[in-house]
Amino acid sequence: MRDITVSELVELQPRTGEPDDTFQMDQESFGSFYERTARPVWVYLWRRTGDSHLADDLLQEAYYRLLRSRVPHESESHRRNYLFRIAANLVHDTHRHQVHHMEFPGEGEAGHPTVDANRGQQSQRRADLDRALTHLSSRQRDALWLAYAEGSSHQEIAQRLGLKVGSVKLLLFRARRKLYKLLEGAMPGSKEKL
Amino acid sequence: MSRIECNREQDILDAVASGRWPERVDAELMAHAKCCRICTEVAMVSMLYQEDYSAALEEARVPSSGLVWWKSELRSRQEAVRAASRPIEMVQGVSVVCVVSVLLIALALLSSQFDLGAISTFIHQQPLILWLVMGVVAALTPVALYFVYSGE
Repeated sequence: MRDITVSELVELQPRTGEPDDTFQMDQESFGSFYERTARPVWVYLWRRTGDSHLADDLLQEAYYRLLRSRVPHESESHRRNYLFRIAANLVHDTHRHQVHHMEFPGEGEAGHPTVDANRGQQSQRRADLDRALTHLSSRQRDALWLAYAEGSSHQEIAQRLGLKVGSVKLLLFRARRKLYKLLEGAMPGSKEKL
Repeated sequence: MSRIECNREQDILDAVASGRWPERVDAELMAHAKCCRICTEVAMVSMLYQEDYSAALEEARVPSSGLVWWKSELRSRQEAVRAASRPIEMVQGVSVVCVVSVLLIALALLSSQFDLGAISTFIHQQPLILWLVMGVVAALTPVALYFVYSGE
């Protein structure tokens, strides 16, 4: 490709407040939507990829695709669902291109967002959960995340994953049972905590 | 067929989400959970997820919305420039093909007027190194052109 000239570079500099008709939202409405959604989406990306830097990149990509999409959103929840679907597709694409087995970084290791040494038991449980989740399919993990981390209803999960409600119920049932069996082995005595 | 859901699941989920599970929950719900396999699984899995999610939300360090917006705008403009320059690159490519074609035709027409025997003798008289250098140049030229015009 030819070199970009200085005048083109100047043109490329975004000007604050200038409306961009290639985006489906203006900066103000984007800002408020982002404040409400960015943290849960980032956490989902981080927990699914195991890499906070990759989660940053995918977060940027997810919002960029949302901004560029031409899909009309009739409500905030519809837009949220659409954003989650973009994020989920990005995660699946990332996994497809990763040949190596994914290992989650422990606290204090590179790729983990923060270091906190005072969470011994909690860290252990989270590590057990991470390990168990590697035995589940991508779709099972998404469904469990939406149901039990984000507290989404079966209807919302169906919309976000592009499934029927009946399929979601079966998917959740199988995923939960499999995870429970894996965790029962990893965390003996967990049943007694009930 | 075995059950895949229990009508007390939502009660368990509400109790976990509100932090009432397991200490401050109704005795009746707890008794049900102990004898219902589905609710036992729901309670354990949702507790682990809630714990993990809360901790991860605390740890999350997301970039500001302004930064994400600015990067998106920058990328959008870069893509617009790239899209606009695509036809120019195509025209450049077609021009190169045309020029090369004209040169080849001209060379073919002119070669009929030369003494091919003399040319052959001239070629055989040149040192091998000259032909090697010319071969390398001929091989590298398309590669160089590729890098110049291929963009990223």
